[in-house]
Amino acid sequence: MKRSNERRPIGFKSWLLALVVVGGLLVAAFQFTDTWRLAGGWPLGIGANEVDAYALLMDRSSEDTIHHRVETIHIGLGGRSGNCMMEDSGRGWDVRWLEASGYGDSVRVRPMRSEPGGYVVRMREGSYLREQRSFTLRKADVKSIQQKYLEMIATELGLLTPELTLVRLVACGADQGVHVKEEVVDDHFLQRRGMQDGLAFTCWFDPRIGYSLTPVIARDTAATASLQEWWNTTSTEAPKDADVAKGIDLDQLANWLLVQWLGGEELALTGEVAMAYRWGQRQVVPIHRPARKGAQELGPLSTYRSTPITSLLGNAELRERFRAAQEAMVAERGHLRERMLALTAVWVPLLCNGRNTEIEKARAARLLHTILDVRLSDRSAMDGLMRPLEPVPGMGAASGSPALANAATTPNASLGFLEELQRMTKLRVTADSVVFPRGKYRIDKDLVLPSGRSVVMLPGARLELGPGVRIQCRGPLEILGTRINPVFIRPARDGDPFVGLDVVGDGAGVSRINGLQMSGGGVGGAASLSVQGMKHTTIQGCVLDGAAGEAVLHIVGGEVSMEGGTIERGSLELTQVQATLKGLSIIGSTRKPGPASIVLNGTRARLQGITWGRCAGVALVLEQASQALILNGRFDGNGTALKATDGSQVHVDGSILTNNGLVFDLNSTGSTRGETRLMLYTNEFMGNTKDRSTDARSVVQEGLRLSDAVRNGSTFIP
Amino acid sequence: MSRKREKSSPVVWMVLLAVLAVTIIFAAILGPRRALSIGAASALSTLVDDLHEPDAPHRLRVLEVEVDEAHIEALNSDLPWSGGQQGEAAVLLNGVRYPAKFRYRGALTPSHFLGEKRSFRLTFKDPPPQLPFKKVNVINPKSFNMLNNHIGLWIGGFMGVRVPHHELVQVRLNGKELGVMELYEQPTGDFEEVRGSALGQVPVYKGDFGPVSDRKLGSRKLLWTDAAHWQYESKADSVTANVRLKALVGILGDRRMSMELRRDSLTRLLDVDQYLRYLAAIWVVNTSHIDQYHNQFLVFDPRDQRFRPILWDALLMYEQPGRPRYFIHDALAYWMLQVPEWRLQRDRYAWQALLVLHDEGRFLQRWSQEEQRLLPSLLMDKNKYANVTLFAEDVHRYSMLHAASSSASMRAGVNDYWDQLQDRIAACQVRQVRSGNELMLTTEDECPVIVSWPVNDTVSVAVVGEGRTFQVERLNGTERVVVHRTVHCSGPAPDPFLPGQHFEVDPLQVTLNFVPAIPPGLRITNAITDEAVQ
Repeated sequence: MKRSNERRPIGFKSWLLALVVVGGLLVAAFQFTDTWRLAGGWPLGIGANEVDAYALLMDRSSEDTIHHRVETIHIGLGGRSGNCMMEDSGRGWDVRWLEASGYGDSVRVRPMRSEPGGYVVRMREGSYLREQRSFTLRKADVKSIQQKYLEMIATELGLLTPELTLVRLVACGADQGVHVKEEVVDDHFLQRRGMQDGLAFTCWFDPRIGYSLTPVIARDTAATASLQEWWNTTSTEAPKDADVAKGIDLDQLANWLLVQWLGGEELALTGEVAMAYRWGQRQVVPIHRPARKGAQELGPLSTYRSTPITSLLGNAELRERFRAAQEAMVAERGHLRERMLALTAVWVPLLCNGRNTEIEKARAARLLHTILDVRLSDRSAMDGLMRPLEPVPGMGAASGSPALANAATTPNASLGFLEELQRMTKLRVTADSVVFPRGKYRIDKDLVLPSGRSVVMLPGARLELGPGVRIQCRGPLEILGTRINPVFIRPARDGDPFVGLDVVGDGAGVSRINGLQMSGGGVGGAASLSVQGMKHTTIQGCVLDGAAGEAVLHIVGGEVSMEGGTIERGSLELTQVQATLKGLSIIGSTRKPGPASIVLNGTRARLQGITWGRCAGVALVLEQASQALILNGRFDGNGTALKATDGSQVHVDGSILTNNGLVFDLNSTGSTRGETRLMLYTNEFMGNTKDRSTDARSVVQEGLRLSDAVRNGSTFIP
Repeated sequence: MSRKREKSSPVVWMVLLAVLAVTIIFAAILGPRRALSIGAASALSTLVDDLHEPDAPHRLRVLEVEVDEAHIEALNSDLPWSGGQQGEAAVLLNGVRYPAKFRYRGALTPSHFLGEKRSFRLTFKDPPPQLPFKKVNVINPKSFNMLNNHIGLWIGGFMGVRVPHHELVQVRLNGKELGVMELYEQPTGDFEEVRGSALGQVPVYKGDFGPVSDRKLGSRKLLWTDAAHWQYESKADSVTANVRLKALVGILGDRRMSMELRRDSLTRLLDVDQYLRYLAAIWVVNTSHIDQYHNQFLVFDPRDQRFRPILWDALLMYEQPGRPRYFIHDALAYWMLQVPEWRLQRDRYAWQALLVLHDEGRFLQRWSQEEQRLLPSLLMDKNKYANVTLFAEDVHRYSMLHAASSSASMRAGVNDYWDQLQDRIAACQVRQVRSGNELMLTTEDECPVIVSWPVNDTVSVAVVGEGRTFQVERLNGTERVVVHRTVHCSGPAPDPFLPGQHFEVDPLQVTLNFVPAIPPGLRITNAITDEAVQ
């Protein structure tokens, strides 16, 4: 057999034959395939383009008439650049004229940074379009309907989610086609949904992103600190699920995860995620928002950043709630399907952009089928969302890393002084505690006690602190005094104040302070007694006199129970705690009014049977969205009885308010906090100079009666 | 069956002869091995890479940069000296244009400026949200596999160390594909702010060679001999940070200080935990690219007034395996590694990281994921330039085969190194001799040990040995003492500023005297791995 080396050219006939055969086979295949299958996946490299071309050229079926019209938005030329918005690729805002039905105003417009071809539109304060302060416009196609399906499910689940609508955009003198209009998730969005104490923030779960490692709430440092404290709990060696879980609304998290799953696991938790932080409840609330195209360029996640949210994915309770939400949606499936089909009939003709409506409807139906029949029924959905966790770079020591050996962190001078005290006094140092038995202890140098050890002061212990001296306990403090046999902390010389006693914990310890009588501390504005990083602090029968200090007792974080005792000439400050205070006396001075108060900063407190008397300034201050219930209180002869600011909420019942200069002073300086609210029930007012002073963002309401659950304490605060 | 053989054209023979002649000449000038490496790289990149047709879209982020061609020509005119002039540029991300300044960077290492893929720096006045950094370096990868630096930094971050943002990107310069490059954040004052850990600029110091001037490379200064040798890279107020840096430098230079005083002073100036993680990461990554002169960054936290290190240029497996356990890369490490508790903590961080990275296979998993993302861009990259020999000036084009082989050998190299490291850390054969209340422990291995026993509240146990009382710690229902190891410096005249030193662990021989008696249930474990000693 002889084989020729000559190249044989492929002639015109061969080309034509090949085209006709292949084309004919394709057309035949398309012709005899039903629309549902036509819109699905094809083998051999046949894609959506081939199907669309066939539908455009060959299909002769009648198309739907569009009965539905969408709102048209006209956007004019830029005031700064003079450009049409489609020509603007700069990152900054430009002022443009926007016209819509019943609306016309100058607005600010800029390109979206997270999605090519998208725009952000922001209205002027007070001049809102359909009550929205700002929204995005993104080019719509038939895939956009998936976002609408998910929005529908999110709404059904009670999740916060921005509303998606279709609008026709007219700009640059031409119809730019149908766009998806989506409200921007910000504080205004939250307040419109009744979340007055809500603050919007964004976060990432993608470990490949080396920035935004912890969330930041713009314009609110106090809320940021509170949020970050929770966010960093997963930096500890073994975070407790319960501690992590109480910082987030678990039901909403389960719902949010379900919607993430329904949107496709390859997109789940990718990109920048929007959330809300409820300042009043110290809880994060997830918000469902469609994923941005730009955020998807890094591809699906194979691991997650170690955050409180991702660490909860294995939590049994969360999984149970996820399952419950899934079951609830399965039960509602028929109802959902009907609504989605109705939506499909309205949206798809608008989204076709000249393509065949039947095929586009089939594509939409396929998306619907995937969501409702495939993904929603998947019993391993939660497992599908699981990924290994990766530590966040640089966060190893930001909080909670295992403590180094004590010897490495306690200053030598303090260790030496402690040894000296052991030799000269009854002080004992054991493996896990430093004990001050009954006796006198002259502390004339700063004393830093070894970390991790409890400091125990037994009844009758008298500590005399030199001028400017401070004691720091790096573990739980146990003061075991009684009313008859108290523990005293006094200055070594009258009139020479010391700094104070600081307790610094790791967030897990419990401190007990009973029968302490303390005075003469607080030099340099420090609190005489400061407690932070304790999980729980109990204080009973203490007399704290703050002659030199503004704050006589300052507690940061954790839970506080305080019963009996007196705070004199100083303030009790509670920052970011949950507190129960009973039977305290807050006294400005024994004779004439002096400074004394309780200051609640970002705190939830139940104040029962507290007496404020002769406080020169404000007797009770609530700041930074604090919440308080005052039951059976007595305010007598104070400058101002109660001042509440910045989204705080107070309930006052059964209280007697007499001879005060001003009774209630309510105002809001930060617009993000929402209104300050005072609820009054049955109280007595007598001899006060002025009853109330309120600003426009504050509300006073009269309530009829507190529920029994609140009165008996089974509900902490209404 | 017969086949007619065509006569070869004389042109073919002439070309082959010319190639042969050139090869012989190059082999004579450069040496056969070097000539072969260059020739092979050139041939393979032409035959393998140039003939490959692109078949998949990029999975990396595409960074489009626009720079005035005239400015690029000016920068190219006299490299590396001419590359430092800033010019106007713009970066396009998601269709949005971000103005920036553009200049070349890297005058010391030829791979930055030889070849067609030159490293550059972008400076933003108002950076994009996707790259929220004032300065980013876009660097020609030094290794064939392109992943060394990326994975080295990822390991650092995984171990809890502060690391700059780093990702591989596909770069398009003035519409032309430049190929795969490393996008590397340059730490500045907003380092903490962009991470959400601070509200504004914080002091940041760079410890590196001085800038190029008068056609000369920057000066090399011992960083820890003078605070002025650190370059300030922030707009935050530097008064406090400078005082603290001077104090830190003073402590490192003062050889008379007692160990305890130095330790406590360092604790007040330095985030010890972060620094120990940093030392552990250097050990695990096995790099010696961080030294007394360069590749160091310090960020100062105004809240606790302490410095924290940033892991920088952590080239994976830069050093040959077999490096000493307590290698001293700079004066700070010299003093830190003398504190036994800190040595132990560093070792524990390294061990814990290896359990996940190596034993659980997280490193290989990550490598493979990144490689999958890189692959389409790597295949399309016709501009792969790196050192094809050990000579700095031999920056030439290399091929996919180089990349594949480098990737395989890197993974194997890392696995071998970590196997050895784990064996070394876990080795803990301790001889125990009990006599009355005494327990004698001896070992030639390098492990510190923990002697522990269940807590008995009725008996308080004290442990005495080596002329001192051991601190008995209570943990999870047990009491324990840690028997640390002593070390000595390798050199004849140890000095914090000498290069190439390390600490060697002394053999252990200690007798512990238990008062009142050796408690029941005594257990001896390796203090690093918590495994019972052999």
